[in-house]
Amino acid sequence: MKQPNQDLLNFAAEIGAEDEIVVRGGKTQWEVGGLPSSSAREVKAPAGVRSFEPEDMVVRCGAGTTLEELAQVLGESGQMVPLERLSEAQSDSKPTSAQPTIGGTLAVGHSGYRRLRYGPIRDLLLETTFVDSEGQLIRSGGPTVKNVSGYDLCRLMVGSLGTLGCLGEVVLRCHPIPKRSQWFATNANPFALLGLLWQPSSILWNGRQTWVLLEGHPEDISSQAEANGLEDCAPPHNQATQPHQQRPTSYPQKLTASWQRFSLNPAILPSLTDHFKAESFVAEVGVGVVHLPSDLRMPRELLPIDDARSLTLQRKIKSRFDPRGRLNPGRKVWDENNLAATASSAAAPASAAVN
Amino acid sequence: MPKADHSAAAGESPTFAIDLKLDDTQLASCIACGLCLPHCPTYRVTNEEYASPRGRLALMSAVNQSASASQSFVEHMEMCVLCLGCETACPAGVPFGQLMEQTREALVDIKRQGQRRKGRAGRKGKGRRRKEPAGRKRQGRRRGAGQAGRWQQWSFRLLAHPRLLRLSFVLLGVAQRLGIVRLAQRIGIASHVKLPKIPLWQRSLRRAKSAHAGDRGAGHGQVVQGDTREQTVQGQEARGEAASKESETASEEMALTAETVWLFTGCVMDAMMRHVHLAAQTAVEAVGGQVVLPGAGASCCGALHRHAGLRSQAEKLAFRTMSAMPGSAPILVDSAGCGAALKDYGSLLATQEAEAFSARVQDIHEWLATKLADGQAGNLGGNGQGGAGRAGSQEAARQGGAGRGKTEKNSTKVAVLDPCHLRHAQKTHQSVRQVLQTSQTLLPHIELVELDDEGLCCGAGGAYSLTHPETAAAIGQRKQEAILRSGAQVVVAANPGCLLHLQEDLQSHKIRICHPIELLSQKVAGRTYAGRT
Amino acid sequence: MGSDPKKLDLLLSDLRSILEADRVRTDYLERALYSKDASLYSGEDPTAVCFPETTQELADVVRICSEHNWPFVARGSGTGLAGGAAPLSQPSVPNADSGQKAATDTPIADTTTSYNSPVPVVITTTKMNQILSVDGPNRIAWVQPGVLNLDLTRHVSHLGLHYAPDPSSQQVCSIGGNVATNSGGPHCLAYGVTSAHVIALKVVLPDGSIATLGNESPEPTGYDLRGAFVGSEGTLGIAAEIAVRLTPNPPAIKTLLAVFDSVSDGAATVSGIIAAGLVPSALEMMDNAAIGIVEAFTQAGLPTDAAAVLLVELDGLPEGLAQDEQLIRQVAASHSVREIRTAADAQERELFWKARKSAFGAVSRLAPDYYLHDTVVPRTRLVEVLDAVYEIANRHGLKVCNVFHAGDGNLHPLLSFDSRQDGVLARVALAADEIVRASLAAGGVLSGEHGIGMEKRDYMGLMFTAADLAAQDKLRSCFDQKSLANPFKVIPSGSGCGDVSALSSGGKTTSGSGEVPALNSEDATPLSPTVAINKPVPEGAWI
Repeated sequence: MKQPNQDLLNFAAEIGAEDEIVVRGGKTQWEVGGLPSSSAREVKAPAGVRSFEPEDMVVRCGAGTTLEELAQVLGESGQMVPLERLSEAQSDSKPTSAQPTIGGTLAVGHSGYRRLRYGPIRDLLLETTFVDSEGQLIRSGGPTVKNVSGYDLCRLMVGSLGTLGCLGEVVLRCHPIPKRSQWFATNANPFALLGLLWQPSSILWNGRQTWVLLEGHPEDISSQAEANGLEDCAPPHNQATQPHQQRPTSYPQKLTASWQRFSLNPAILPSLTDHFKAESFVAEVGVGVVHLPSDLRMPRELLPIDDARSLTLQRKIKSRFDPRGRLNPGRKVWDENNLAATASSAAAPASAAVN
Repeated sequence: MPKADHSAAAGESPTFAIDLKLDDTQLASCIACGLCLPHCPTYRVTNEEYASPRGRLALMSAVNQSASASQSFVEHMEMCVLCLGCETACPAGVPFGQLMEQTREALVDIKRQGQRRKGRAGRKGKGRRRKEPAGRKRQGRRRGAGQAGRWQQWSFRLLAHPRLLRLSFVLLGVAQRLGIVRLAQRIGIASHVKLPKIPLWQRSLRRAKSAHAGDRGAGHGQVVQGDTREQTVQGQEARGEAASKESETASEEMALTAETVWLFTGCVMDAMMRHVHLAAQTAVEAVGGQVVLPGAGASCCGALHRHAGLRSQAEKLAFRTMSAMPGSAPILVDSAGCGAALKDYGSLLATQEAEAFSARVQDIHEWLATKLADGQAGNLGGNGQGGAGRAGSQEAARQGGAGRGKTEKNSTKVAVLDPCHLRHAQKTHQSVRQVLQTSQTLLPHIELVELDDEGLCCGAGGAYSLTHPETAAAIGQRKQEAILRSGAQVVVAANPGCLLHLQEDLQSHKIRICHPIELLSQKVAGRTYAGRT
Repeated sequence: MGSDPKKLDLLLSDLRSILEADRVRTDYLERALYSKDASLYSGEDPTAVCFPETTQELADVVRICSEHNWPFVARGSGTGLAGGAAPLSQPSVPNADSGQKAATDTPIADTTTSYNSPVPVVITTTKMNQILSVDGPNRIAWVQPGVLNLDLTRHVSHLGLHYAPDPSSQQVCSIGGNVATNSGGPHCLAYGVTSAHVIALKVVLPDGSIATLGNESPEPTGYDLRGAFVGSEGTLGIAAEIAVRLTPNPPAIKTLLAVFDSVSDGAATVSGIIAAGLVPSALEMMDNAAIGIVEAFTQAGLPTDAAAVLLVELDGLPEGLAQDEQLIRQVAASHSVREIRTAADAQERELFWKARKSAFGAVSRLAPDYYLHDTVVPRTRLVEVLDAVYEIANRHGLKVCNVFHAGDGNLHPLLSFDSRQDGVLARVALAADEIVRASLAAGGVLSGEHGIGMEKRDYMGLMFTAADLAAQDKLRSCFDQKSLANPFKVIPSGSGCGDVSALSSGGKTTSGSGEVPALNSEDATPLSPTVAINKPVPEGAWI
């Protein structure tokens, strides 16, 4: 059995079993799920890449490792973990030096904008060691892509905002950095494009214009673009370690953390234009994530309805894993008001609704 | 393995002693992987383990070990259609058909003993009569199947008597026309049985009037060619090579280029679908062959008897059939079920003669495909490329299979329905496609389409559609859906059981079903036969 | 079996009030068929076998079981390989022959523990086999759990879509069973395992209530219960309706067959391909023994004298495929490949795959029984673990062949034997045990796609600490307070019989504050009252 390293033991000891604690990463998405109680003691997860074998395509690192550091280490071997976000990483009010961490990104659980191709963030987490409410180190999952050894607690941790345990160390699945990444702009119907393109990495739509990110072999990208009438909207990057960080230059809005993020059934995205003016939103086509500026409200009927029975399960899980409520107090993972039965007219912003 | 745990539930059925005498090693060769399940028609419609090959083998194994069985065991064994789809699917090569036939033989023995006992007990009053199992009220259908034994045996005997058989069919046909059958079904007699309309009159095979005149087993055959020539081949006693040489000599005298073949006529096929034999005859002649008809000895192959576990009857019929078609000439069969049975005489009788006989047996399409591949297309046309059959039946047919690239807008879509006894038992189902494909010049407006159900049984299963009408209908429904998905306007099936079983349902969708040889011969002769459409 | 006949009658009559008698089967022969799956692990004959057809019927059956405090086990097509669907009324199967043996394996302190729970009812989902809806443009299908994996793919093929997880048993295994074991398959290398293809689930919880876990939106509210449920082997409830993601068919496919004269060259090629930044859609390997068996069955034209063949499948757009093929040829050439063949057409590709997928069945032509193992090791440790597997099998005098998902490091050593030989089962059990340990020692995991079930339950302590397992059990108890759903599976010990509090506190006391006890493999037995984690599965568990 793998022995926990000293950093993890120290992290567990720091958390202990007594008082209220809140884990901090880069504080780049600190408001998601509501601010934690101010009385809680702040702790930081261990940082640094522990091991990385390019041939295994998995990386083990401390949850406090920044995305930037991870990208750098992996990039040297031509690999990456697709965790980037569409909106600016830092909110307007925060210093630009703040760096998102892996643990924070996983705890918030928002997938990167290349989810269409690489899948949701929860599929990237293969193994985790977290500290539970008793101050014990708990490990779940394993360092291989395929693994059905017991219950998948990793999935529970992703998006849990640290309310079930504090991520200490994680093993993530890596992907090869594509040979070329290219953004395209078009006025074509994004929903038709979804069926025409082979494995697009991202399709964004603002009700008027569509942006497409294609990744892979340069020749395939060109032939796909040509066949579908796509136009380059930024020069292709061949050598950059993180070509995906480049955003469409013709992008009309500067998305910041103050934008709200909503999770809708992707099948209803075409109807967004019935509710919003063109160019007032950005939708991730084929995924269902919709970004809205802070002054717009998402109609209640577009949001998915939560299941009451499943909510009682959520509560039970929280109370069993953290009976005294000492882990990240104040954070809300679900929205009690979002049930069909209790639906109110007030639209909750995504930062509360989703997290 | 299943333990004989009797402690459990109420509603247990009583057990009886039985010795299946199955080979332990054969049973043990099943690794329970389950790959047979989707290829089993009864599993597909019930989704119950005991209606699957894997389940049946486990049941056989349990009963073989414990030497006791319950009524449910009998039902589950009888529910098998014996399509052998599982054997094709089985990676471990379990001889399922053989094990099932042996099991049924043991069950027939038990049933006979039981009936004897019951007879005695009945006279003495009460006693050993089996109590009706509790909790099975809803299963009249299955119980009925289990008790069909005596009736079934009796009706099977009829199969070996062509005139009686024909007479009963005619009577049934009359009853149909008078509405008696419908009335009977309405009051619950054989209410699930789907009966096609039975022809009251059938054209004879050309100049075949003495076909049934021969003594039993003597095998006085008759060579028929065209409508003009007729010559009796004499002395074709089953006496080995001498006889066969004689027969060849006789053929040579008759026509230098012609190849003489026997056409096995069989029972139901001859009584109800003689037009298929006529068509077969036409097709054989079209490629320069001559048809010899066997005598009355070949009026039943015994397949149904064997599937029902009536081994000794099957053996008797096999002997009769063999002596009805002596010599070395190929024996052509246009019914897949009979063909499979004839090809299996070698293992049934385990004699050299039987093996030699079985080696002569060919499905008519198999024979035609070889002829066509050898460039002997004769009047059947051919595509001028030497035929598809050359490269080995599997390969060629797969390439030619769906007739891609030959689609025409106004072409008729023809789906080839593979009878199980052609696909799983004889494994010669591709030859049907080869024959239809190679005859493209003859059938230019035909587009062959494939069904997407991997050759799953249609539920006809010899007598199965009579003994298990509900299950057979459910299985037929699946087949019908596959046919509808394929968009076919015509379905061809090289087995009378499949034709009869699906006819009525397909007619309601305006889909014609016929024997593949009928498609061919209609074009050859430029006329149609008095077959039902 | 501590079932009171009166209680049993009440249970059965309640079940029959929901389902007609035909769908509640109790005949002893019929029940016996539901005592095991496709593995060697046999459970007990279930109390009854139920066949619900709708979500409501399923919920009613579970509710009745719950009301009667009667355990139940969900079962799909019965193709599991870890005994996951085998009903158990106690941790190991009582068997007249091995009863004594089992007793000696039981720690003295636990002989007082009586497992007085009845044998579970088996709830079969095979009649719940409807495809409920297909949304082509959004690539989602809702299916009932009994839908067969390949049937779904066939059903959507006219839309240019397929269901990506493709276990070797895909023609017969059910989607519900795939969800239970988080099934994989060759193409999971690029497309991900079942969990990545399950969008949402409507499940029947062990109390008979119906809950929807997740929804079609990408980031549903709350904890990812859907993710926790997938791979839970029927211990958290029964999936009644499953929303799966459909995957577009690739525009082009290339299938290569590379032949090697040494296994290590083959394995080095696997690593080389990945290191070169390529993720083929499948990367499968067969060793010499497997090639021989498979070739005899399929006649796919595999060279029977080769030490290993590698089956590489690439999919995508044509230009990239051509380049990727070149790259693979270069990598293979640098590792002394003997020959590389590219499938000329769909037929040849099918033949290659038939060879690969029929291996497990074909092996039974060698000997009547097989034991198919399933562990995962880091790709970089493949050769080392394979060598260990050969050594272990040789030492125990067993035939072994290897057909496996090399790209994932997912090993499937296949031990073939005849269980009727004296003592062979004990040797197989020992060899299996050593293979698990060798895999874990190389940093691997217990199971890649078959699940824990009965087979590996008692090995969980080798991979996880008491605290780890207590955390998993917490999750279980949230879903199933009465421990009725598939008891005695996945988590070792008495966690399945209401022993949860003892287990949790046990975890707490052993670990103290922040200190995690290192359970070494010699004494990793704290959680199992009846079966020592370390010991091979008692022979009673084998047929």
